[in-house]
Amino acid sequence: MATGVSRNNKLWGVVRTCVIIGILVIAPLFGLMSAPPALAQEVAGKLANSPQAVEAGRQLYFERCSFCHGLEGAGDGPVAETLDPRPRDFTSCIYKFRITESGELPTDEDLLRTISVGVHGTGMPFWDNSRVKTGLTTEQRWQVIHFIKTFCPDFEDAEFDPYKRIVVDAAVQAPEQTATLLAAGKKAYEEAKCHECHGVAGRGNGTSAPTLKDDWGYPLLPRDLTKGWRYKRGSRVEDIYITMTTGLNGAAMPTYRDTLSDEARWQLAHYVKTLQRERILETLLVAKQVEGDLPTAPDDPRWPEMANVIDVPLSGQVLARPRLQTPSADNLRLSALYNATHLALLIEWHDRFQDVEHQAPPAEPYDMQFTYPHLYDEQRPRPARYTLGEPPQVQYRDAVAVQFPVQLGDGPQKPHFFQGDTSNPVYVWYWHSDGDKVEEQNGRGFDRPLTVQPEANQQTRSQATWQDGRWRVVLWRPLTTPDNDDLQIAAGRNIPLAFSVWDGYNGEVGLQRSLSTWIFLQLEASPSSSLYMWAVVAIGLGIVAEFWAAGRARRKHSHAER
Amino acid sequence: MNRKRRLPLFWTAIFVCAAAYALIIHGVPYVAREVVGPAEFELPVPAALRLMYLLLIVVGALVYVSYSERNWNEFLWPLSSLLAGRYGIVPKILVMLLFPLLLGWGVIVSGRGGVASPSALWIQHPSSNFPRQYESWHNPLREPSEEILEAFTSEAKDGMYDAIPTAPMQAFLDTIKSGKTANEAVSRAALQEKYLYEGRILYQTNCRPCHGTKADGNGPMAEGFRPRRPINFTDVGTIDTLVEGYAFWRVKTGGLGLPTEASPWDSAMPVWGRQLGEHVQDLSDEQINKILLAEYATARKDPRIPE
Repeated sequence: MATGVSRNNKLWGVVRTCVIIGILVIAPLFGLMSAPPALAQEVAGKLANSPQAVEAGRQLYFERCSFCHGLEGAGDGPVAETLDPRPRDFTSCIYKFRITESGELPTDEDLLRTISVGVHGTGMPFWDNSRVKTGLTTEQRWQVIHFIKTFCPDFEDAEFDPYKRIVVDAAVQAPEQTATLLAAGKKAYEEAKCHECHGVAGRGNGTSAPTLKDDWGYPLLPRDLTKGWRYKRGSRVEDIYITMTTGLNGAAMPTYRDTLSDEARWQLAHYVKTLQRERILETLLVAKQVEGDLPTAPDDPRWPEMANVIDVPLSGQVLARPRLQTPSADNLRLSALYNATHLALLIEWHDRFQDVEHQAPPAEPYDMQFTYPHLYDEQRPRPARYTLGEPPQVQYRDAVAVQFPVQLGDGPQKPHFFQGDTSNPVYVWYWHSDGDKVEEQNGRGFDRPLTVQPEANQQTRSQATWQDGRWRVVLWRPLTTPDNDDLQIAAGRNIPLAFSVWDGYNGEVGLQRSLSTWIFLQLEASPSSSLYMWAVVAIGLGIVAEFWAAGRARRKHSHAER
Repeated sequence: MNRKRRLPLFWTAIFVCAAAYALIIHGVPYVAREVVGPAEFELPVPAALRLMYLLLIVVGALVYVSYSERNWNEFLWPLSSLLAGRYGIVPKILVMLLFPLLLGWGVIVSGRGGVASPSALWIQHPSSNFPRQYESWHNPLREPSEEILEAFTSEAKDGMYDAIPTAPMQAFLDTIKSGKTANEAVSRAALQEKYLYEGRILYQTNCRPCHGTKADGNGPMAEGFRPRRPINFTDVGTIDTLVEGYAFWRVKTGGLGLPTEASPWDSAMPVWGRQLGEHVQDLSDEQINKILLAEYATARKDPRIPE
């Protein structure tokens, strides 16, 4: 450019720059294009009942449903004996999820909803094929429904027509939540005696809990209302309201339509919704450093005030016999704090019953005979969960185990999360409820027993409380110990951690338990002072560099102007 | 001195880099979603690939802007103009103030160390320790022998398979129960129905808790197994790109049979071939063969044909 930048060019330059910046800002919005497709919400045109539909339904039912629900629809397929809750017995005409009066049949749309969405927390999956290709199309779902209805002759009887007994709109909308509404709901919870089954804090540990049965005589446990993801119908306020209005046929949850007004049921539904707790499903927990002593009591207020919290989801131990796919605990909450000398962990999980009695388990558990336990097998020794009114035949304590590797490697390699393996041992803090005692153990794989460290090498301590359906256990240990079999704990590194939980009431002992995979704990290290020095050096170098560049630029431009 | 461009090279280079990067980050998942079909999960470009692409794009742009002296000067022109004060004293002071501060902040952030979960190793089809004998393995149940076929036919005559309503079975039963002999194709098709029936029961009992009733990796026990969630068999690129022998090896040797580069320590896959006694495996080979038939059928996939 022979002359300087003209005014017009400068303006045009600014405009161009704004346009470029604008495009750079809008481009990320195209990320919306890659969002997953919305769930199919509408019910497509209903397929009319016809012999062809029933026959198509029979073929689909055989291929997709009969292994659980049975060839005759009696809920007695071969898979059923391993499931809790058991698959629906269609010949009984009893259905849980309806918009009809308590004790009545469901509408066809109720059946479509249940099949499409599934039943959360049970073995019934969702069949909506807009979410997964191997589901059923809407037409196929209608065909299966028409076939399933043939298992119950009442569907043909005009006297039992469910469409004449609808008591709630499936698409009902909840009123807005207000503070007065919630306060009224809390009061209603007490007056309607919900706590008798669901417990005061909603953890499913009410006084009636051990005695509840369904219409087939199988024991039922009241829902833990804090776990929204386990509500069978769904966790929205509307779902709760509909459940309260219609009751769950065949189960212990009654209808409250006659005892509570519509307004009261909405208040109660809103209140119950607030009992649900959001989970923090991070895989890394940062333990903060504390001055002075660590809190060792579970209800020390310093835990919620100072410590970070994560939730660790637990699955049943389904890796090796004897397996368990019906565990009691499906979530564990973890907090951690450390000081100059010790690390403390606070572990919480929900357990309806406090089990402190313990008997030695048999060397060969009965459930070793099958890939999965046959829960109601006559020969199977019954824990309290399955006694069906009789005294339990086995009694085990509650327990939790915190598992670490013995050594921290440099790479990602770790011991296997299921008690390690032969080349990579694990180090376990095993706490059990009888005696509120924690033992340090080492393991080299699930197929051999853990070795307990000698008494002189036990440095870990515990303090535990069980209250209103929840265990809270604090475990603490010095960061470094003189034992080679212990993990030495230091700040600034990712420490793998895995958990196991046993609920004695459910017959959980040995390999039959809930467990988690590896998550990570990091003791927050304060940055060293040398880091700040390096930052100052970097700033200085930056200043030097930019002054040099500015000098060069000025020379170049004054040269160009001449 | 500089050609009159519609857009200065400096901004063109930045715009092209950003647009190409945005296309990869958002365009690739969009296209992948169209190809894969409906599913509940997103298909983001992995972080390692993003970094790789970003580096490639930036290096490419740098090569372009520096390949001639003129291009290089033109590229640097807005920057040097800023530093020489040609856009005004305020922008110059702002940039000269922010740049060293940014450097200092960068040092502190990188030195503080990320508080992030470490990345886990994963390979789509780990095969560094895949035994050669399984490469050409055929599922014996897909080609049963004459004896097995005969035994099946006599069982069917006794009414053992009347409850299986599918067309191939019913056609076969109609034929043999009326006294005629069914031709081989019809008999074999009916035998496959029997195997599928038994295989489905085995799959739904043993595999469903993790892999789900619909073979979509959504079983009730799937939630606790992170980061290695049970495989979604309906996903393209899982069992349909593998020979059946690979699937057999995976089922039999489980997570512990994986090579190191596939994070066996994170895998919840049971070792279904585990010996429990002298003649007892957790699942016998015959049971595994039936499960494979049912697994492919439930996922609506066919195994890759061995070479």
